[in-house]
Amino acid sequence: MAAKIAEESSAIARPGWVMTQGSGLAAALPPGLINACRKGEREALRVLFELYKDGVFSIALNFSGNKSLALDICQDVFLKLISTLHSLRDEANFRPWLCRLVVNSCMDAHRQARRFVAEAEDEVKKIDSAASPEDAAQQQQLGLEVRSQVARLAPHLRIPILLRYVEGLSYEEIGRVLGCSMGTVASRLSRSHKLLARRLSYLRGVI
Amino acid sequence: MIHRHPSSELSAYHHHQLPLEREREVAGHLSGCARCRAELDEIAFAARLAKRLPRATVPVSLAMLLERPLIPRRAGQAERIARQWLPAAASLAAVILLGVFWYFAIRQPLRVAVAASPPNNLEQRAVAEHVRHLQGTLSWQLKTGDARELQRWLLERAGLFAHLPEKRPATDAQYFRLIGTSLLGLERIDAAVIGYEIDGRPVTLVTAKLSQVRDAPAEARFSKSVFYRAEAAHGFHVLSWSTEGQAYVLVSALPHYGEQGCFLCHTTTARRALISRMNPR
Repeated sequence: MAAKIAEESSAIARPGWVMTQGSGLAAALPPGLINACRKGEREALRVLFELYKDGVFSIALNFSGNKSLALDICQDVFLKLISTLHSLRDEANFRPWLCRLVVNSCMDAHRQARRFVAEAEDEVKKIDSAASPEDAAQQQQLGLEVRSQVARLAPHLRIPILLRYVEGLSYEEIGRVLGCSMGTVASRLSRSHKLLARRLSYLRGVI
Repeated sequence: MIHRHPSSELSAYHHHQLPLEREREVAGHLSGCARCRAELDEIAFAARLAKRLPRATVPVSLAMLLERPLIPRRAGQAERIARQWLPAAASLAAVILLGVFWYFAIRQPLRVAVAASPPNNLEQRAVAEHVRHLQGTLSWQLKTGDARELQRWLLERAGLFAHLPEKRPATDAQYFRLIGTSLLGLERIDAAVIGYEIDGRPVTLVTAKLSQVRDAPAEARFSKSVFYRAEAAHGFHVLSWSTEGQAYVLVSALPHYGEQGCFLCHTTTARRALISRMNPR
């Protein structure tokens, strides 16, 4: 359902700007959009927000596990984006640049909150491993459960997981966003995978 | 075949992110290492779980809340123009208000100062004409009590303007009498003398083009500066000033500093009260 809404929102054509393919932070930039945003054109800023709001919100929500905190992060990201857009030299680097903004805002929020209360709003129930995995509600619950466990990982282990699975970045791209080597990314991902597998081992019968 | 367990690389191996050669080496190790195979299995399981991480969309109501502070509201053209010009308009209004305040509350509309410089040629001639006026030897080329006629005559003959009001206050009739005017040949200067009486005391006003008078008082823009001189030989009061391109000298023996002589042109109660309040300093 969420994916359908995302598809629909990315297909909205705004006058003057043609929404391009891709979703989340991978959505392609319409030509000239960045320049128009730099000039403070309202319509361009709105299109930019429409294009990337869900991608930013997805990472923020999966990082924090808390909707209101995710909205705060989202707003912080866009405020920084608008105020620092002039510092982006090459539009081709927009995606890693935006990812860095998101990661930094998440880390800032984490430092401020010290400890997120994972899934404070969404009720996470233990999934009955005997139930049919095709059950839509069950699938949704599974996703929430994974999110709650991801939100409990240490931030330096959590971020690579989100960039890999929410944004689909390669190890090299994750390294560029985080400013570390591919080896470090691989090591962190190995550790986070193992932690997740152990904490969610009771789901082995479900997927 | 590698002997050290490649634990930290198993995630990259699972995602095919290792260089090909390294991937082969890890694969070789895995075929002979049950522990690493178990770890890889954990990673594959976790990867399947992580793929279920839900993608979220900002709820429409919250999107509006988010969007509002981020995207500046579109201002109407009138509003934009107003915003653009508002600082300038506000500054202009402030300057105008200050100007009005200064003009009415601070500005001195009239200043009377004691002349420090020696009398110029127009003042000397005015004193001489006043003496003749007193002696009755001044021959008036136009003898009239009609202010308008005198004004027209001066303008036509010498291009000089006399600020004589057509109507005078009723009380003036008791003590004010206009006598006449004459042109003066004064070192090729176009000058004129106007004679009148206040309470039977002769008053002589001499005027000339400002550009033709040496050392005439400068014209003040926002307030009138009058210079007073007590004439030593006869004890006359001599007032001199400049306005609208003409220099004026007023000679009389009227009381105080002879300010009543100014009542020829200044007929309003407020202006006369202001003139009467002044003291030469």
